[in-house]
Amino acid sequence: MKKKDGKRIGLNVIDVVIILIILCVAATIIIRANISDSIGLSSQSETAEVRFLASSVEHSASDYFRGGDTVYYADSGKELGTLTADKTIVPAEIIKELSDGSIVKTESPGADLVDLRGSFTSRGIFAQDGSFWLDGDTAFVPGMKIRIYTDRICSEVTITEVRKSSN
Amino acid sequence: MEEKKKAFRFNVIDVIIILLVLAAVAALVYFLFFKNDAPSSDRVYEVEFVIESKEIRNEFSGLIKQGDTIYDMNTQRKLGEVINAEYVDSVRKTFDSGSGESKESRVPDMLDLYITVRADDVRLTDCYVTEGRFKLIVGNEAEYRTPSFSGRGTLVSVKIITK
Repeated sequence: MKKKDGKRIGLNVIDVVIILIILCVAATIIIRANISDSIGLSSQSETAEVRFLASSVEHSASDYFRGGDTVYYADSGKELGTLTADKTIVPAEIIKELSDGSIVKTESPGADLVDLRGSFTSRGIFAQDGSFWLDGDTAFVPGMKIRIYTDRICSEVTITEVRKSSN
Repeated sequence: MEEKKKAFRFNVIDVIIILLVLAAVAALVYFLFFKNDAPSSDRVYEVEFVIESKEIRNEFSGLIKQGDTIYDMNTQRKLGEVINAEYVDSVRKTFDSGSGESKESRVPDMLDLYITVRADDVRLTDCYVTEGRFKLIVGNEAEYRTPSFSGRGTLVSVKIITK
């Protein structure tokens, strides 16, 4: 191919590599968009209240769950939202096997360990089936165990409830 | 003064590099999006399987319902449709050191969950696999989610409904 003034233009190896990379990225975006469509994600971001249970945490550590702190998802480092001031602390429930083979539920002696119930608000998308998606690619549903952190504490928690926030 | 620019031409090395890059990209696309374990047939089967999840907290009782779509949490691909979700008191095998006998003991405030799933797009490769390539083998571990609950369990039963 020649320009009018006779100079040749053409692709070099680097150009070809760049074009291939762009095509791959475009294909990934298209496929990802199809997955979002197939699970019925709306495009509108909403605020959810995500309630969680942190089991058997040190009593002293429970002080570091503070309302207003930003919460991050340890798997990806993504910002999840903001801890609320709503917090309930009770002595940790412990399941214990006795020597006769029976199983009892008891509380942590001296309340050294506690079960902490709290919540954080998070922006995401509710799918048509009611499931909540952070950034449209990570589903948060009750029963999930996730690792979260703030600038004060890191902990594994179990999600117990997800509902649309009234705020 | 005109400067004559040297025309950039392909040489053998450039061609080899382009072919290698094309092959790598083609392989990547194939393995990510198109690879199926070598199918032994194009037949599609309908399969019912049961996932057992042990010691679920009481507060999660009833969250999974008949008709829910259940997904593989790792791939987000559909496993099938829930046709039954049974919650029973959780029991654990324990040992009575006094009598020397093993027994089953109730775990307080915990439930065992049995989810019966029907998958209608199952193919036979080296074993039965769902459309998302989840292997339907007794003993296989499943990390799953429905719209209202996520958990981990083990396949305890696989039944071929139609052949």
